[in-house]
Parts: sequence; structure tokens; C-alpha cells
Amino acid sequence: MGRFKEHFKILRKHPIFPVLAFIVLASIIKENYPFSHFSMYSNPKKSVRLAYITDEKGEPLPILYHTGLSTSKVSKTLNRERTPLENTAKKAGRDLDASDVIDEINREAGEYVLEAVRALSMKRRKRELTGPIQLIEMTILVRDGQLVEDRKLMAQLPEVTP
Amino acid sequence: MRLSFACVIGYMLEDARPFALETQKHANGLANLVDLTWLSDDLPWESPFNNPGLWDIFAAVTVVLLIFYVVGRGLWIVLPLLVLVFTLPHSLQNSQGYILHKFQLITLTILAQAVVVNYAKWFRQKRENPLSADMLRGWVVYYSKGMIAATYVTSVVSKLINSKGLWLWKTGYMAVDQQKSRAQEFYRSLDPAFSGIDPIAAWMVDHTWLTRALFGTGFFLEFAALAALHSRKWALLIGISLIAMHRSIAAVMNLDFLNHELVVLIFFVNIPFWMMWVGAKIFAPSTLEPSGRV
Repeated sequence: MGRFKEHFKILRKHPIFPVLAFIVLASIIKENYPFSHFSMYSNPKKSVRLAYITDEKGEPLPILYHTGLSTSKVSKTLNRERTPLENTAKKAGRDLDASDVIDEINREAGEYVLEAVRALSMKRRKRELTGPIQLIEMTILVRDGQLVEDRKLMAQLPEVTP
Repeated sequence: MRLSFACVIGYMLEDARPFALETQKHANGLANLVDLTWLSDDLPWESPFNNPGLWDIFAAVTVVLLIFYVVGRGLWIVLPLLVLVFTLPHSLQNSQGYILHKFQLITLTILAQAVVVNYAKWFRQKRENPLSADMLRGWVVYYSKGMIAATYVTSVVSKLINSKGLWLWKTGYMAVDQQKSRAQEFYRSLDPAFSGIDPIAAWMVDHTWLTRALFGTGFFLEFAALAALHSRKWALLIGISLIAMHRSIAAVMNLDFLNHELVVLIFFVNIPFWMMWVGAKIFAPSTLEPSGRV
């Protein structure tokens, strides 16, 4: 311990010490602008998900054209809405692996995303999403040595009168 | 260096999206303490730039601050104000349910400079060995480089923590992230050029160990970013390597971090210094360090 204290004293006087201290600070503060722990791709997974919008027939709609949003923002918003719903369900003692619980959470989070997307489209003249729209979540994974994309309907909204 | 960094800072103004945001449902940063949605309030006059909210005012303030920054006047107040001017809108931007990582490095570099300048003004000037103007300039550059290097090493720390030390092994799964980048491009605007399976992702599935080796190179390069603080030669080497890494990520994964590359180019690669050094080497070698240390 004595030697550690000695080395720490030497390190503290070195110009690089504030830089090392910042690394520790940023790792603790995490994501609070302008601080970040730059955790992009920090935990690669065997499967990833992304969400996109379609019409009632399942044909994808160009989300950027209709709303100004990128696909990644749609996916992140869905995840952000889903997490607190999952936490609430868990606290209520519900089984998060049960298909009815999953479907309910997905529907609620998905409807929020669709409402938000539709609201944004209403600000873009002649690009409004007034027809029936669906939110599809796609899971990308490797199966039998091949990349595959599994799709699942999360939520849908009916037509609205502008 | 101040002029080129000022140009990069000014370029951040090009993104006016935060000034169109009317909610902060997922508060981030300063938005946790104050409501920042006033940034999207309408101006009392018609904007000549056609940008939303109070962009015009923020742009005007930024330009004035950058003029003072370039001429080096009042840096002790100019730099913290620049940090604030960019922290307000980008905290609001990051309060929408997703985090953008485009501007943090620039704001943090300004913050590092603000801390150094204010430390020198309020603490060192009162001592018997205050910093000279040259020493202060050297400190500002050192800690700008230090901040840039720290962000790369922080990224490495995140990788190690979040993957529980298995990041290098898990890069074998990067093919799915590669395919996700392609799919995101396709569903963004239905560009047929991005439909189907990504050939690079397919290659990664067939060459898992080579994928790990390639991503591992970037991992160790990020960890080695601190070496840029050792000398200008190391800064040049690390800088060129980091820019090459970002270019290859942009080409393969369609992920652009141009702001990071520009900041690294200014502070690590430092072209003006090397041009002067080569010039001095050819025309006035006696002006160079006797030890030859750069």
C-alpha cells in the first residue's frame, strides 16, 4: 500500500494525471452532454434489432421523407419506450418471457412510436402519414452460417382523417 | 490551430435540428436541471437563414465568440461561453430518447481549453512561477490533445466494462451490426442500393477470426491514443492511424465521424507544424532543437 501511495503521488504530479482522471470521470458520468463514455458497439451481440414503418400491406415507407427521422432514431425511440414498460411489468411480478406480456409491451411501445412518427409527418405538407401504418421490428442474426432477418409486427394504427 | 479549430466549431452550427425540438421527455445533461425547450421558440423577426427556433441568435453569439477566440482575447470567458452555447442545444437534442455522438468531442476539447485557461488565470498567475504566454499555449495544446486521447481510451474502457472483458471475442458477431447499418440505410429512404445482404457482412460471417483481428487493431489503436501526448512524432503517427481507422469504418460500416477526424487532424497531425519543420530542416537547420527531438 505504501508503494502504491508513493507511485500515486508521482503520477499525480505528472501532466497526464488530469487526462487519466477525466477517463475515470467520463466512465462514471456516462451519457450527459457533453460528457460521454462512447459506448457505441461496446458490447456486440449475436443478434440485433431495428424497427421500420410500413403501410397496411407491409410495404416499407421511406421514414426520412415522411418525418425527417432516421431508422436508427425510430429503433432507439422504441427501445427507450419499451424499457420502462418492461421494468414496470417485472416489478409487478409478470413473466417477461411470456408471449402475451411481450406482445402487450411491444404493442404499447410500438403505438407510442407510431403516434410520434405520425405527428412528425403531419408537419410535412403532402408527406402526412394519414393511412394505416405498422411498426415492424426486424431481428438480424446468423443462422446455419447465414445472415437472416426475422420480422415481427409490433403495432399498427388505423387511418386518420387529416 | 485556433483558426482551424474555430472553423470546425463554427461548422457545428450547420446542424440546426436541436432548435426545432419542442420536448425533452428523456432529459439528458443540462436538460435534467432546466427546461431547454425555449430554444425552439420563434424569433420576434423573420429569420433570413430559414432555420428553426433561436438558431439565428445562437449563431450570431457563436460567431462573435469565435472571433475573440481566434484573436486570443478574453479566452477565460469566451471558452466557457462556447461550451455553454453548444451544450444547451445538444443537451436538448440528446433528450429525445436517443443519443447522438457527433459533437461531444468538439465541446469537450473546448471545455479542456476553458479549464486550462481559467486555471492559469485564477490559480497559477498568483504564484511566484506564473505561466508565460508560450507555456500557456503549450498547456492548451497538450490538454486539447489529452482530451481527444481520453475520449478514445474512455471508449476502450466502455468496451471492456460492457462486454465484461470479452469485447475482442465478441467482435466475431460484428457481421450482424454491419448488416444492421445497411438495413438502416435502406429503410431510411428505400434506396435499392442498400437492399439485400451486405457483402462485407457476409464476408465477416465467413471470416470470423480475421474480423476479430481487424477490429482488434482498432481497439489497441484507441488504447494507444495516449501515446500522442509523448511527442509530436507520436501524435503524428497516432493521428494518421486514427484518421485511417475512421475512414475505413466510414467505408465499411457507413458510420461517419468527420468531426473526430478534423479535431485529430488539427491537434494530432498538426500539418502547419510539420510544414514549418520540413522548411526549417531544409533552409534553416540551425533553428531546430539540438537534440533533434520533435
